[in-house]
Amino acid sequence: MPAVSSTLMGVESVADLVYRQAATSHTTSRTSKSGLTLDEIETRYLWSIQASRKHDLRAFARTVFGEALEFGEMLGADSTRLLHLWPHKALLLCAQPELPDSSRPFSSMLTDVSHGLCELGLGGEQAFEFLACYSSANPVQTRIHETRNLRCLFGQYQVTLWWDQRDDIRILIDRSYAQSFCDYFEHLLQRWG
Amino acid sequence: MQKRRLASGGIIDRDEKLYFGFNGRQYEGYAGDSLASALLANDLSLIARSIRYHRPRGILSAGLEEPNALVNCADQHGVFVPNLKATEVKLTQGLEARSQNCWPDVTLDIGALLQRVSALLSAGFYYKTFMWPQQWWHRVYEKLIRRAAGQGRVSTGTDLKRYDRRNAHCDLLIIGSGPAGLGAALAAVAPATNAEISIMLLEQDHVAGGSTLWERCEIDAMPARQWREQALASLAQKPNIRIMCGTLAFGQYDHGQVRAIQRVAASVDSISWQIRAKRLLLATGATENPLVFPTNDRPGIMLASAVRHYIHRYAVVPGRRALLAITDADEAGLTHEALESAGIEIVATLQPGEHIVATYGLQHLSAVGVINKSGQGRRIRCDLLCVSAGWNPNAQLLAQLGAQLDFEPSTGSLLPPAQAGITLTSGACRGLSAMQDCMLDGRLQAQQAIAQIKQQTVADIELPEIVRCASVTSSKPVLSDVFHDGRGQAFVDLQNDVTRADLEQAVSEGYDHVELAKRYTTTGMGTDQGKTSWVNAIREMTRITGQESSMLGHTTFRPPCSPVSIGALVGADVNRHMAPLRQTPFHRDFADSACVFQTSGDWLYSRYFPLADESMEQAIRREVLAVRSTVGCVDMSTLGKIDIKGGDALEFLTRIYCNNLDGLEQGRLRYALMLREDGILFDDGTVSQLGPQHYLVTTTTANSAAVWRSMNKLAQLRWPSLDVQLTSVSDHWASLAIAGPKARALLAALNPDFDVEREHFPYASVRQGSLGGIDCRVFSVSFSGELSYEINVPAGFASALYQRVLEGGVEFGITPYGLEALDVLRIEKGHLSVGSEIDGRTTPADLGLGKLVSTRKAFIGSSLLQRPALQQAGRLQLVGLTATDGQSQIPPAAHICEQTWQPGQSLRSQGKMSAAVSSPTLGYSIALALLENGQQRWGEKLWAVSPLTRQSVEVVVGASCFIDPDGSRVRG
Repeated sequence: MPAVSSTLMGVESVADLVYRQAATSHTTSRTSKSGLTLDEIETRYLWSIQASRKHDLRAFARTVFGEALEFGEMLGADSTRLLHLWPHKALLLCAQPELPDSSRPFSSMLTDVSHGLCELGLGGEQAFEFLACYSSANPVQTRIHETRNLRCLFGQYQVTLWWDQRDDIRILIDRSYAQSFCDYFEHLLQRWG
Repeated sequence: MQKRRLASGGIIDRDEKLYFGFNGRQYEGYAGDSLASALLANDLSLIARSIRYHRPRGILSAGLEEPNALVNCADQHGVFVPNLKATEVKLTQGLEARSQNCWPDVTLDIGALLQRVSALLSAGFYYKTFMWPQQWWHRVYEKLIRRAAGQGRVSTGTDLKRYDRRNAHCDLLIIGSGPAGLGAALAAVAPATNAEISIMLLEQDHVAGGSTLWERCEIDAMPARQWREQALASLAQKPNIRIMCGTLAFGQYDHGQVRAIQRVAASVDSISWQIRAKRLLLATGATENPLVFPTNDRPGIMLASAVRHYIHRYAVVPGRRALLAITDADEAGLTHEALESAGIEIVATLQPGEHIVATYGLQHLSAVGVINKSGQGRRIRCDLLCVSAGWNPNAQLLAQLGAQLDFEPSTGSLLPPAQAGITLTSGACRGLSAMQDCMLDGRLQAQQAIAQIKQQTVADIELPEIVRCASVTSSKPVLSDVFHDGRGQAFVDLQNDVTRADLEQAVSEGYDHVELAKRYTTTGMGTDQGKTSWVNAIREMTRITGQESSMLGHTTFRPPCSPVSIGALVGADVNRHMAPLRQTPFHRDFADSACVFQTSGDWLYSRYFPLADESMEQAIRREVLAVRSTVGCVDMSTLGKIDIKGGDALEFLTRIYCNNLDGLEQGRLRYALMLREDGILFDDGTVSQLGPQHYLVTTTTANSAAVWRSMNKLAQLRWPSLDVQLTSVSDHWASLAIAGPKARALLAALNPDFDVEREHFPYASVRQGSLGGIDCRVFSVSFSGELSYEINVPAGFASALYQRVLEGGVEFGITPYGLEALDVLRIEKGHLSVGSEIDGRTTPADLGLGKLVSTRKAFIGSSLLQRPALQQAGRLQLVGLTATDGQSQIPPAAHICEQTWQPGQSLRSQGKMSAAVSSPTLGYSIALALLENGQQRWGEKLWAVSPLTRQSVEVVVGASCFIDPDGSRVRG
């Protein structure tokens, strides 16, 4: 399992260090009346886990997380999460580039997509209400409220959401759409009031 | 000075005076007024002119059903919005309104002359006129019609209003806050067991209450207005109900979806709501029907309920001398009482059997001619005529989903069912009239709805029985009381000036079906959508055709049930937010390099990189020549990239691509073609083997989503037994291609950890490693026709890569280039592009790639590729074209013909251009084209003909590859 490169060849100076650029140039106006903020979460490592004939997602979840995982559910705590929001696929989020040893038997299921997705944090007291207004789903619905993760449309953007608290919602979006999404967020804030 | 304002009463704020303008003059009103009530209070009754005959028109009603009082109103940005009903415009400070459809003035309108030729303007007149002389159509008639037609004028300036679009979900959605709606809401929130039920209540008026605001009736033994106040106070205590006033529910759609527009006055001008509910309860009330009699359109003729509305709610006196022509005794009683309370003299009440035969007055009613059963006539002086021909339920939202409304002969109205699907009706909306009955009905229907909602989770909840409509005790209109004969135009549809004679004419000409008669006469096609006309139109057609009303049926109801602005529907998705825009990982660096961007599908793509003062053409030429002579770099990140793993990965790819992939080794790649099921070329790309059972596929930008969807569908549905995992890595990898004779040297300068020499890194191969510490995959593949390497790095390192390429490429003359130059390069090389050569009609053989199609395996499209139509001679085939004189510019998008073209001539097209460009490399114009039997016609001289640009250029047919036909440059 190749880790994202953190060692360099032929480093001669600090200037040679490879800099991982953020996906967006967005900064939320902190003076917004709504108190809502949107920030890009710093370096994240993400893997797409595809089910296969040899291994299924439940086996992966049991082995690596020690728990069963049903469709629509989320496992994990802190900065490590496993989101099962596709029938045959799950998304693994980590704060470190290396995966635990227990995942080695499942290496054929994993593909690094760390740079393909951008994670944003939507914060503020009205974050959940804001989300409910602009997404096609009904996040206050009991089941979604319990599972705390969701894949839906936010405006015209396809997003994957997960949260522990209603005032801190994490949004995963394709990197190429991230800047446009952030601009759209600011555009909506002007209407939110 | 508000001459018609009562000294007291009304639900208006007399402490807040508002000043507004109408037709350039200033008037005053109060907070709580509508524009219509304020106009009436200022003794203004002539509001607009009718669309066809320019007849003077006043205010007929007090709500959305208003057909006459159409005005232009300026918004807060000073932009005039046309076709607003004065009855639904809330009076605000500084409001500016103007009459519509008149010139120069509503009191003196030139268009009124049309009344003198009204006989020529009957139903469907435009199908029979403006035909002779034929030359006059473009010169005269069309210009006149364009100026005269339509209702109102749209501003051509930018709409500065701020709109938004939001979602909401609830268990029970109640539409309407009259007695039935509020009764339903109270019943829904009352039980403690309903605390978890979420309820929304929408009211299109800016205050809740519906008819309780103006009717002097009693509910639960107290005045309706008092009951309303108590109800709203009680509902305000409940956290599970949300009341939204100023919110018009205009459409009902599948699966419990309702769309509504909320007028707001805060950070946004209006919000378009998309609401999903488990149950809908329509408490939308009913609309009063007018009588139909000669000249029934004069200002001063008003619906009886509207008169009561203006007196009780707005404390406005609509007239001084009133005549009542009301078919229902209860209605007549209520109106009588209201007029007396306002001090209005009641000069007469039309008795059963008495008919109105004429009305008098130039710009306002001054008298009414009445004839009794014995035929004796009299003229009654009056300035207010209160009319009513019964009520029709407002069930449009239910009918929009296809529910049939039944014509009820005893009441003369279109009645909805008590429930259709998840939508229940209540109160006046399902035919009840007494306010107490409406409130009780709302309560019962709400209980029914709640029980149904709960039954979805608790199966053994018993549903209450749906109560039948309470019996109606007062007399109801019969047909003869609604229509009065006499001389003069009797309008059935006031807004579109449709008369009884028009309907008779339509039926006599064969348009005897409601849908045909509607379109032929335009009945119900105005902004009021026939709310005060359609029932009368059905009644009239019943009389004319002799059919039963129930057999006649009604026309199709479609949203919106009242006009909504397009801006409100669009919401916030305007300008650059109209659609999501994708940026490549190199975007910020390119923006710093003065790149000119363009949208290409979803993407914001680098178009060209001009140096100071360069034109686009100069920049493109420089970029192309740089790639051909030294080295350039271009962003290829938009290509689709799909990671494929698994024991059956190769089998999966073999079934999808028409190429033979058997011999593909690790570290090699192959140009691959994907066909549709019907054998037509779908997409082209590359298949690279990265490791055992591990492949990477690239697709075109245009088809990346389609190929991804197709692969997933095949893997999940068609071949679920295959061991294959698909992952889209399109956004994970940034891709920068370096192309040109110096590309290899530049690659070496980037400090790769693998050998880049030709013998170790040949064409059509891939290397994985690092470039100066950045993990990478480098593909030796070319779209430009030069030696080229597509360097893929994780997207977060794109900027670092780009800076290194620029720094390392200085000694080689590195030149960034964009999509324009890339297109020129690929045309010179004869490479294919989706949308140009891969146009949904070509096969691999048509494009000279027939040899790539494997004959040893089955693949998607292999069967239908063999059908005769795709194998026969005469198919359009890819060729190259050059001008025979070596100088002329070949017109783009030209057709290929055997002769030159002259204006007015018809020629047979033998093919079409797919791409044309003035080649900087070659110094002359070249083109790619699809020509009948093209591959057998090399050397032939034909004509590239463009009637649009009126050009014909003689061309010679040849190979589609103009540069490096043997591929030596590509292989370095």
